[in-house]
Amino acid sequence: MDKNHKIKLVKAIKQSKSRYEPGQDTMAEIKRQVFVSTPPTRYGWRTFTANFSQPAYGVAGLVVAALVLAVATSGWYRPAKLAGYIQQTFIFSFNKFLPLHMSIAYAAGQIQAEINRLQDKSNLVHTVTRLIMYKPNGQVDQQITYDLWQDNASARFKNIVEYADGPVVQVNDGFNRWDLDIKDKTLNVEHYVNVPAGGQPKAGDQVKLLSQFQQILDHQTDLKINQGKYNGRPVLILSFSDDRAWRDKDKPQTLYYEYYFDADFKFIGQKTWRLIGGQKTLTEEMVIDKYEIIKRDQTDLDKIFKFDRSQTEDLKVTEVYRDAVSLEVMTPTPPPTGPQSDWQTYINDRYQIKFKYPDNYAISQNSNCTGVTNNPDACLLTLILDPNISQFVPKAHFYLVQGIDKVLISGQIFIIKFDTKQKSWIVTSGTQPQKVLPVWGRTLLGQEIIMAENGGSQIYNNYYIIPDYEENEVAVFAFPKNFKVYCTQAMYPNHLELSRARCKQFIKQIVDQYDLGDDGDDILWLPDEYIQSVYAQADKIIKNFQNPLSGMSQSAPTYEPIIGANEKIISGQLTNDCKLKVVTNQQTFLLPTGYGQDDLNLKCNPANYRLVQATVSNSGKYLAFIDIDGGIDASIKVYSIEHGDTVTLNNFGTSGIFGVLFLPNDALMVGSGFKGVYDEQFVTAFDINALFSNYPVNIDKTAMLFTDLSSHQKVVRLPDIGRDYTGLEYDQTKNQLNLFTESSPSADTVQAYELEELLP
Amino acid sequence: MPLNLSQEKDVIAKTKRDRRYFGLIFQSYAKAIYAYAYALTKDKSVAEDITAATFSLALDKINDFSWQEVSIKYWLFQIARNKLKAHWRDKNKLVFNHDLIDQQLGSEAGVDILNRLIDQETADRLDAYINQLPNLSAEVIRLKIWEEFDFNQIARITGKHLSTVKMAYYRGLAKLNDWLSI
Repeated sequence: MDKNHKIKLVKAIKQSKSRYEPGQDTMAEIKRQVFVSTPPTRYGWRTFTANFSQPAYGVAGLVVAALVLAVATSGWYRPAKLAGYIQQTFIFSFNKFLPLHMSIAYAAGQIQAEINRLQDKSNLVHTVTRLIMYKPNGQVDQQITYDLWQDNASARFKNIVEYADGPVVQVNDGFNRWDLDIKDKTLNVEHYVNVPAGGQPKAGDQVKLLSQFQQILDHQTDLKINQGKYNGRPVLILSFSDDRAWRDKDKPQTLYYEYYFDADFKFIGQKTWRLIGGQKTLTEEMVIDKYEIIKRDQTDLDKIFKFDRSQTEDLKVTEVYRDAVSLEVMTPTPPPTGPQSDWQTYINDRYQIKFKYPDNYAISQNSNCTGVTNNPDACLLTLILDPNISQFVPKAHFYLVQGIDKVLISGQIFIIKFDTKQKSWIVTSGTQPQKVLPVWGRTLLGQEIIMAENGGSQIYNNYYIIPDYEENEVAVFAFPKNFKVYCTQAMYPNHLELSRARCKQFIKQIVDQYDLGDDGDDILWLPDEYIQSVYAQADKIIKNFQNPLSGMSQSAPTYEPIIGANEKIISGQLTNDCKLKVVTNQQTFLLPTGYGQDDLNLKCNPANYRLVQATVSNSGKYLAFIDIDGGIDASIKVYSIEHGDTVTLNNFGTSGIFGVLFLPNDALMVGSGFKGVYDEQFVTAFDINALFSNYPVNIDKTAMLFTDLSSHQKVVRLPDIGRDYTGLEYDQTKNQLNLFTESSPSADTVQAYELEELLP
Repeated sequence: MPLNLSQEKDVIAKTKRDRRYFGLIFQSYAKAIYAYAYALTKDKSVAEDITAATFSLALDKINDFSWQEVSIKYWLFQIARNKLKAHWRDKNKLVFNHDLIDQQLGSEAGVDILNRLIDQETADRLDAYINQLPNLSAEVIRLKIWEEFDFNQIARITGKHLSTVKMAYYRGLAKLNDWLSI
């Protein structure tokens, strides 16, 4: 091929790409699909509410939702079956870091070391903390109160938290706080704050959250300290956000935290927000209700800590699960309908499932899901639950199947499956009309359980189907109901005779026990009563099944992608043709303004227009400027380089704007007032970062206005000084805002404000 | 403005902390992924789905993505290719619209189409020829010329041997040249 010809060819092929590129509408739709999730209507119950938007399961969803609504409004949910929701939401929000399984011996050592250390102290700080969880509508959902004993001289402390289902012990070793969660037998790691050296933190200080675990830091952003108020008190506010996927299959969710400290940097409260339906919603608050310094001799550390080492039977790391159960720091109260406290827990981190089972059971992994699906690719997990009674007793099974419609439980006559047309689980056969299976019960987390029996010539199982319509997964427990023992079958091929002899012996025992009068046979249908006694705990196992992916789903986040995040604004200036010329470190572009909208031929002389006060924030993220709307009204607008949009902050009508400036933390201060009306002069502070943190949820896209400024703006009326104020300046040395009346700020400052008084 | 490698590395690190930064990655490569999917499926709605699924998965898995001094575009195309494979598996075949190709070819054979293509700056007709190539040749040519992937990367994206990819590319170009020279 001729070289020139090839170049032309390649060039032509390259050009052909344009005909395949998407239009703006297509791009917008793809962007919506990627970044915007269907918001849940209620946290913690997303499984049910989400069903509404899934036509395939709409009917089932409505039924379930009606039940949930009835339960929620009756108040019955608190102590009873749905307690799991509350409990799980709480645990995951409070102990928000990844659980770390470790030796109880280590935990015991930590606790004992803490006791020993505190023995030397004359004073302890005792606090009573109230943890409040809010419903999305702002009502209090749940409160938990707990005591905390703290060394007055350091951040080390020890506390006991009373959860609904038992206590959790927390130990702070001065670096990490170790949470010992008895119920889950895990130790969780939490952070604590490292105050910058050299005194108290102040506004604008960056603080570090220390942790051995880098993954914690990886998810925390926007760490900063600001001044503000909490319950009417001036406080230092440590704020940061944290976004992470709680589990591998989840989308990350951003949580916003504020920690409040008084003037002595004493922790007095904390709030947590999360995005619910795209709105930043307060979900939790921690309030320190009591703070007292108690004399060491007034108390007994051993009683406070209540750690009885003698009860810890086995401290081998390899048996950490068993160890944890025996660490009775306080006596946990098992749920009344739940399993025994000495049951073991099966946890599968990969699929985020958990259930308890009796101590005598052995659980092992199996290789396929042939019992419940004929699609090998749909088999996520299969387990054998062996009650360890006899090798001739049939084993129970657990299956996790991907795909509601992939479940097919085939018996000799019947088939159990999900009917996508009826949106119901059905049992069907070739000769009889199909029958819809009712909901048999619910798990601890409220997932529905459908029960049906099916089998063939040797075994009949009770199948307990636990569908997760949202994740499109189905958990199935299969517990034997009937079983025919064949001693003629080879249980151990290499020891056939031995096995057969044992089998016959087993049959004889059963025959004798149940007086079956069928001695000497090689084949026996085990009596129902016998199987039932073997699997008497089946109900509890099933109802205790927890699939966190559904039961405590976090609300799906809605991301507003940042476009242009690397760009920083350098300057903004009015052009002669009434545009705002914006210069960034990457480009120069023009923004429209309200000047000249009615007269396209209007020429703007920058010197004569108020727009000259365009000002760039310290971060370079925002450009604020005074614009004119409707030819007469003055307004303050902010252009965000991250979002590429100009949003109106406030319209000041026909009053004048005498000053616009950004503080170092990107808060915008605006001075305004009617000229000559000296008692109507104001300074308004806008928290620009906070306002844009909810972009575009809090924006009226038609008018390009912030829909609610109330929580992120503060207006202060200026005192009447018999003159107009003419300008603002920020005094970095004193960290205050000065207002002046003439052109020389230093000579004519008439009013100064501490920033704390002004900031929202 | 496309990101350079250094910016991309920075954006990916930021995205792992703040998912909103993924918008920059999306902005840089969504059109390319869409064009790739559209060219291979000839179905705009499928291309839209593939593109959305590709970026959704990438966003989900961004924490698992480790920077190896190669543009994330390469990873995105691998994801898109897998999504396409799933689509083809469901459809059981590649989608080809021969009617469209015939219609576009029309009766203009024999003229200097190539020069006209460039003069008209459309390349539509050349595209019809590319669509007539074997599937792999068309895909490789587009990945090579549109996206400027090297042959090794294309081999990995398509799951073919390097030699197969090279052969598909050169044979495809030669075929196009033949057709255009008629």
